[in-house]
Amino acid sequence: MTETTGVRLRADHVSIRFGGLLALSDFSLEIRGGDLKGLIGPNGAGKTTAFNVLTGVYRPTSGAVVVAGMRADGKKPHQINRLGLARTFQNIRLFKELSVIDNVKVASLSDTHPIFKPKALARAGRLPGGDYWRAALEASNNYYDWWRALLLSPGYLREEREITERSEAMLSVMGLWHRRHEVAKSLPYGEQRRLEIARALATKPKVLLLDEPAAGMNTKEKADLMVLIRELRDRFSLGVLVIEHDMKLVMGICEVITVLDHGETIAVGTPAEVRRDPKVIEAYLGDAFVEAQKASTAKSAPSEAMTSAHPEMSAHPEMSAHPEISAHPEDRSARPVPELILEAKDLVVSYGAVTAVRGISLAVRKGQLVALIGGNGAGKTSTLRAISGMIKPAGGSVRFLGEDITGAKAHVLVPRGMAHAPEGRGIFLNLTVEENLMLGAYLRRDAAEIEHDAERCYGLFPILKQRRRQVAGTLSGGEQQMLALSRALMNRPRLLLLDEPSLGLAPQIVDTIFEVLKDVNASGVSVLLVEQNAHLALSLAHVGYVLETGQIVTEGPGPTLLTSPEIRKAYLGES
Amino acid sequence: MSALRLISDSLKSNRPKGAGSRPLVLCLGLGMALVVACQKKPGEGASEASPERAEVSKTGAGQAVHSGQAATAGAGAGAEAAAAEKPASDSAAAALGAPEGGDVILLGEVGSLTGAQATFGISTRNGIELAIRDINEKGGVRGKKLAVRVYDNQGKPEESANAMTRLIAQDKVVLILGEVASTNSLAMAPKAQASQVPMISPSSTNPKVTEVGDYIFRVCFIDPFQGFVMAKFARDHLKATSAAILKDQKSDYSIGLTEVFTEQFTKLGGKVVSTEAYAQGDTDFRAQLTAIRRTKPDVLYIPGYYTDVGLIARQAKQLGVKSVLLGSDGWESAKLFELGGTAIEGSYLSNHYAMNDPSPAAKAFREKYKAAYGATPDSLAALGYDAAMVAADALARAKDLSGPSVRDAIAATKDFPGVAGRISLNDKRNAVKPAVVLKVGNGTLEYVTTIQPDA
Amino acid sequence: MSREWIKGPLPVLVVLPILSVLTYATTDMPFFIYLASITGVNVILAVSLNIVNGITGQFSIGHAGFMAVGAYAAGYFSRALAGVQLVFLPEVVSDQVIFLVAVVFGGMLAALFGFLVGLPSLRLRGDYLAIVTLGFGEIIRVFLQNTEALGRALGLRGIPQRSSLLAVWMAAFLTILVARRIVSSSHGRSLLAIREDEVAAEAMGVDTTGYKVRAFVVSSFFAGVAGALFAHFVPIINPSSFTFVKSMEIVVMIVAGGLGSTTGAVLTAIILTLLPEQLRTVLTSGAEGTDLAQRVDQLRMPIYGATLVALMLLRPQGLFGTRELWDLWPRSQPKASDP
Repeated sequence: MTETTGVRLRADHVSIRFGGLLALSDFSLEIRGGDLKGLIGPNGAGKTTAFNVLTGVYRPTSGAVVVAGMRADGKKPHQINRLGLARTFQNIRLFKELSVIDNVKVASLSDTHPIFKPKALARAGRLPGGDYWRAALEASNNYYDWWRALLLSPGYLREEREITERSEAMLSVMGLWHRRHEVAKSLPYGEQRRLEIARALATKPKVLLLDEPAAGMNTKEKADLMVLIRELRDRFSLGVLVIEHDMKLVMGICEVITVLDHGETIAVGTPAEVRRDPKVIEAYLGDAFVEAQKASTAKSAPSEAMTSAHPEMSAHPEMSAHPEISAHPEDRSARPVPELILEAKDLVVSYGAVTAVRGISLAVRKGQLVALIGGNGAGKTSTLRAISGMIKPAGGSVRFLGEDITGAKAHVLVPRGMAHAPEGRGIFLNLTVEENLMLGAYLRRDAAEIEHDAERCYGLFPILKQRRRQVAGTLSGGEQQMLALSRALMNRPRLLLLDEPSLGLAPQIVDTIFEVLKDVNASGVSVLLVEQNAHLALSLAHVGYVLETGQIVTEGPGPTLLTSPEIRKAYLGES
Repeated sequence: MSALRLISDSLKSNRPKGAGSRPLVLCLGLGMALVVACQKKPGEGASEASPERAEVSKTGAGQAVHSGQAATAGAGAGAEAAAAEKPASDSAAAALGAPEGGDVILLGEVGSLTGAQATFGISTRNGIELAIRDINEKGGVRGKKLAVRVYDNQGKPEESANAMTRLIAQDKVVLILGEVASTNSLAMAPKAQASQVPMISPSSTNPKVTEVGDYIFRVCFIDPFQGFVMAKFARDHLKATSAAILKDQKSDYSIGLTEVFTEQFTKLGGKVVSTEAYAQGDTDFRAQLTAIRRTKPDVLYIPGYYTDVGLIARQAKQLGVKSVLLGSDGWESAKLFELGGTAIEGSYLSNHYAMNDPSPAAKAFREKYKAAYGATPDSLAALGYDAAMVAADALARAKDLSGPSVRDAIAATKDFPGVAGRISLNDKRNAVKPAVVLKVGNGTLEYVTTIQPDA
Repeated sequence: MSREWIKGPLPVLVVLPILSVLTYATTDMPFFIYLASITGVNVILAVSLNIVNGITGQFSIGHAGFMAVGAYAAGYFSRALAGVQLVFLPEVVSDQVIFLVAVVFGGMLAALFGFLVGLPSLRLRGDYLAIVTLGFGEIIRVFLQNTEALGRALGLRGIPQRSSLLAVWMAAFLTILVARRIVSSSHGRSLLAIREDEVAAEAMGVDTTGYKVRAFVVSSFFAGVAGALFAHFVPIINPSSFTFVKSMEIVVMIVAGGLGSTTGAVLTAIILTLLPEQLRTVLTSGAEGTDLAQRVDQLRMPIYGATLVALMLLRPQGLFGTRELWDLWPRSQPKASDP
């Protein structure tokens, strides 16, 4: 309560390198008592890496982390916690089988009464061979603690009572007291989040790091959370650092936001400053997006009808205003509407208590390339997985080539002509390129045709031909992505589901892949593409859908969507 | 100085003075008191503790001494084991009210019916079962039928002790048969000794088994006897004058046999020209074999296990060792022919029993066994049969069915005609009986001769 | 407050006379004593292994190795001092004191080995402990098998048989008490937290390595004590009693009882030890004197195995899950501020 201005957490030009990859470079941050700061960035920007460096999971390659005036880099997570840094986890990591109060009690353990006090330990450290003495005394402290627990010494019982009282008080603050004897995993989702915060606070932190505290929450819960975070900050005079994907939340509560992209800090400032920063927009929406938006605002603002526009509504007045992109929708309007390949209606996907997709309807027609875009955690991948049968949807229906395939398993769908190239590529790292391709054609029996298709893939990506005998694990990221795409094509799909093909790749490679994708699409394969890079996806797509928190906020012909303000809202939380 | 401060500091800081520190201090005090207070028990300590230790540290030597027929030590060890069991023996004696009533005399058997040594246990059990059937067909013993309660010990010593306790305390058997493995017999013997229930091991060959006490017997010869057998065979039948020995220096068994062989061979006028050693699991024996070749012995004695012997024979042949190879019952395995190939043919080994022993008793046994179990009996089956027969014979002769009477009856067994040779029990309760010598043929072991023990 | 010190030793003061009476009452029942002793030893092994595998969520499969260390250490110690008597004590008491020292010595040596094995392997997450303990168990066995002074494959004989029902079950009771008190203390909660989520526990300030090592040391200590007791009532201890199979038997006990449940560990240890004996009684009755009686004994182990398979199919979480008998006691509600 006393110290509100001193620096409690400082990261000083921290860099970390994994092999050849610079995951975080020159990252600096300062948290004082009462600060509420945010850390954002697109997928793979290095946010979690930054968190892990601060909390001691990783040791930085260079730079320093200082917690409460003590060097913390190189210390273990539990030691850093003792210095006064507590955290929560993105995917709630409670002690699930323990009761609510036991969850908090574990974190309250710091107060024990060892035989050898820190003073004695320090003195032992100064003796000749001090480190060993010190270690021995610490060990006796540790075993002595257990010994007292075994004998139920009065002092020990008193401590246990104190821990219980403090834990109950903490639970009262967080409104969980009435649940204290329930098993943690039985709590509803929102309360689990709160319990995790209570547990972190029980370690008496000076700085609290919250890793995506709003993930999986609905709008009301998010609003409550914003209030709670502010309250806690004031009540415990904490410094708070939040990583969050939900822009509304971050922009709503944080005073200062740091934006990371590819491990580099690209902007630091107030929410308003960050939101306007072209570098930030570029990082989130793709490089050319800024240009496209400028062009559109120069002309007319998109009409209201736009947001509800249907892909077939090619005769939209807005289209004619953009001759360069209206070309092909208009061409198509002359022909009959192509047959439906895939149709999803009111799709709902839940992971336990968390609902990721809340009633999405979309359609893919023959020869179309449909893009599904949206920020992190918007529900894009979940939608794709529900369609390809990798997870079972909680509601709604999926029709593929006129048949109801809701809940059908992936291995049934593949022979029918649906291929899924998942995020993270999912190739067999220990097999060669050729073997990977052959496995893609696992269900086919026509050897000559398979050979022909493999040649075609090598034609699309000549580099793969060079590397055909190489083990896939030794390929570069871009080559692996090419292989994943080729493997999906080996099954001669009618519909190709692609998840984030540009993730973590250098721009030229992304271009190559998207060129090929365009060719593939032109050859008659329908494509459903999930992509974070909005510009890239929409400039290619016949139809685009924009997702936000599991719902479609807008849809329309791809190039048209590029100019829609809804996209900025979805990505950057403007309102 | 600072160390002192440290201690005082820590004592002061021990604020929550719970029960925590008190027991610690108590323990320390007790420990110190112990160190000060320890001293030898007057009198008995010296005689009790030291022979036991001596025996452990020089097992090999101990074996050799016991196997030489002249009795030296041993009595001390037995008496000691009995003393160690004393607290239990009083109580167990109550269980001894031998079941004289009823129309069945119940015997006990402990064997490895399951586990890694199951083949041993099952052979033995079959042999015993066959013997009991034979006896009961002839009217049983003392007008009563014999019955055997068999317990499986899974080849583990603690299970053997368990089964043993159960047989004695629950089932109140008058006599116990078993076990094959010496370790298991050693786990059972103290229980039998303490409760004064006689125990007959069919085939535990380690000398220590019967040293446990005067209620423990066996119907097989002990390991080192084979050294004697082979020495005699080499001198008398092969007319060998010089011998070399290749011993497994990690096995008590091999060391014991080596010593007795050396002693006997020398006594009979031969000369042991070289003794080389290997360790179980070695794969290259060329150095030892080359050294042996230089001395040109008539015979090469290899008291080891078939796993090593196969390789040794092959390498000896490669190196041109001309000596005849001699071995022991450790060679007996179907694998021997596979491992040794033609190199092993023409060698000799000693054993308890020959599958093609031409004696009429052995022949009759083989036929009965084959009819009952559809297989040729191995030596364990024959020894199991003999053990049960010796037991029945003793029970018939015993004054009554109490432990001491049965014990005396067994101890008096003399020239009992077993299928694996005539059995006399000596004063150390080991069987004095002949061994057979077999010749390794092409996939078979041929009976050569029977070697009688010295009277 | 002033009478609080009694809470600590109270259970011992209650159980000690009960066990003493029981021991006195059963002096004439050698088979019962033997069976009860084996059962008690298995209870100690199961409960102590449960501290590591069940409560802390690690996976050790070399418990028999620590048992062997305790058994041989205590056995050798006792045998060496077999002829020694403490001057100020009568022989019986002196023997028991030496026996007690031997048991503690066996436990301590096993704990030391536990520390040496645990420290490097528990720094890492995952299955390293399983591999290292597996290796340790085998190394110990091979070492014993090849050491002249310890009797090689034949084993160690001549250990004074000083164990009693009282000693074994007192040790078993202490093991259960320790396991229970550790779990209900704040330290034990840290162990549970490590089981639930090691990363989160570390982030909440729990020195996970330290706790895991301590749990492992305590567990090894009691395994050593179990071995030491074992050595004092089985006439011969032998490397083949401490094989990997023995380790797995203990693992089976705690898995069948429900990983993490001390009650489950105790009950399954008792059931699984007595089951084969009980089967022996059932199978031999009614087949008296016939060939059948001789054959059925072999059926015990298959039946035992089938029972385990059936149990795991019907109750994959084990008999007790993670619940405890003492969960049935009404929870004492400490006064706390209402929200």
